[in-house]
Amino acid sequence: METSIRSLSSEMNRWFLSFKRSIIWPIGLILFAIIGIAPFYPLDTLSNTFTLYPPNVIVFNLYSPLFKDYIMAIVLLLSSLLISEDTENGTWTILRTIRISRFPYIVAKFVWMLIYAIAGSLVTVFVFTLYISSSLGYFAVDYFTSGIELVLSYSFIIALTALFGLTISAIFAKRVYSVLAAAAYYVFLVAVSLNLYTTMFVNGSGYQDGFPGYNIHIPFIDKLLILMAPTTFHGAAASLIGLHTINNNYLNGGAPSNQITIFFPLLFSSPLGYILPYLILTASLVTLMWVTLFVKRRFL
Amino acid sequence: MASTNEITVESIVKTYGLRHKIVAIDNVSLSVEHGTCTSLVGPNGAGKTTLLKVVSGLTNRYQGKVSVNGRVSLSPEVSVNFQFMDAVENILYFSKVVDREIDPTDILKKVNLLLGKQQVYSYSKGMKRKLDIARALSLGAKSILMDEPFDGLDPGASDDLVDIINSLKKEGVTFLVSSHDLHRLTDISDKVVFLKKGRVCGLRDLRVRNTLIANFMENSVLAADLLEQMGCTITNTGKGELHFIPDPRLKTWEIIGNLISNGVKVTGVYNETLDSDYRRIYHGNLD
Repeated sequence: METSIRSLSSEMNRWFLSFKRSIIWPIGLILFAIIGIAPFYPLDTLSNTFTLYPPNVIVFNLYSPLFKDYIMAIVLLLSSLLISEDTENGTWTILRTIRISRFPYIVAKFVWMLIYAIAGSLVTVFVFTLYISSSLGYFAVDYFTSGIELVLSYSFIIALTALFGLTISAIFAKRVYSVLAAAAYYVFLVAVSLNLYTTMFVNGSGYQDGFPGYNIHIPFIDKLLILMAPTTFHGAAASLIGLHTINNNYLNGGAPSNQITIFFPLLFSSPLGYILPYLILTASLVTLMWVTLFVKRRFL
Repeated sequence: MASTNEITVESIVKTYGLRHKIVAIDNVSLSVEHGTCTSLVGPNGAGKTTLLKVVSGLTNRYQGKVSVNGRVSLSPEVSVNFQFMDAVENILYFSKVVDREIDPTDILKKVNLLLGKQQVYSYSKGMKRKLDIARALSLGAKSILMDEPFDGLDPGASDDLVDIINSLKKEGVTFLVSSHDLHRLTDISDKVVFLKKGRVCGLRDLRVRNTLIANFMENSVLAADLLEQMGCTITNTGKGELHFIPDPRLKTWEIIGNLISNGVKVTGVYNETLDSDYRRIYHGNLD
């Protein structure tokens, strides 16, 4: 146990040093900052929205989808480098000769990626707040706190994405292959997400299920979020969809957006059903990573 | 010199492939004594690197037994260190993992590596090799395994590495080295193990008196008799040549003079070197 903690601490220290000296991590932060000023909507459009909705709605509705997508991409790509870099450089060979355990080795990378991604996301929020503040004429602290809440609410997604990236990284021996695989995986997620439409209707609105205006695209990442918060499923889902359909509601005369039915597969029909897939997915990823490193060690 | 074995390899068989068709090491046994350097020599594919991997514990799918006294550290063919750390940070990383208190300055002095904030990615090959040894010392390794340590080094850097290895041997560090650089191996080795197709096909102890090789036009049988009468030990016979360890009481010119005066036509005498050993073992002749 003591050895594992020492190894973990050494590994963490190594990644912080790498952060200070390697070009790739600062580039990642710049990407996070760029997301913050990405022109989702022109400022003049935003200024109308400011008067209609509270900051948390603005942050979520205007910012959340793109924000999450980019986080996934960046975290996937960067985490896919972490183990394959060691394999390619040969440092993993040296670590194996000193019998470093896989546990601190993987955990250190995972924790590092989590800290980095959350810090990067906060950079995004900060830049985004500055962007809005430039229009409002004062530092819009409400938008900043709403952004932090948003980032924290997605920390599970970040963690899961980092695990995916690390697993990919454990499989490939060269960085270029692991990055390409991560990119391919991301494209796959996007493709899957695009096909996962959920039909919904608003009670009392007079519209029927399947009405074109209410076929809402729920990003895959949002679905995962819903799965991870089963106790507030209806609330989270309604809130999520409501915010996503903010413009529709506006056009629809402000029809209530919190009475929404979403049809999910039977697997997810109980609270346990929501947690299990997440736990199974996480356990599978960790196991796969574990086995991959074991197999690499065993068959050299 | 102490005769404790730091590394003992017994009847190692290592195969590759799903059906174990590729035999990388075939029944190899050897031992490396404390504070000495044993070198592995052989053509590409002879099993040198695989044997180092087996001893270092990088691979554990093999038959046979490997006994290592204390920790071993491997310096792979391509020197490996954390690129974005300097020398001190690198060795502190490893000492921390194995829970050793070290003085980085002392270790870096031993390997003649200057202190500084220069990161490893900008190191020359020679500096990286020295850092490999420093890493081993920071881990408290009693034995250091080096794969092609002289590969790509300029003569000055090679000399430096030879000096470092020899001085560490005196401090009791044991080396198992694989290399094609026979000249440098002569400078550092106590024993040389010749490998061919995964098997040991020759062994040379460089601590005993150098073997001489004499070439003859004729009367080599008579020469062999005369050499034995003079107390020399014949180690090998070839076409028109004899390998022998001379009696330490005799000078080389006395031996040759005796042969010539007895009617043996001697055409050349020279010390057996690793190079001549190599050519004899792998090519079956001497130039």
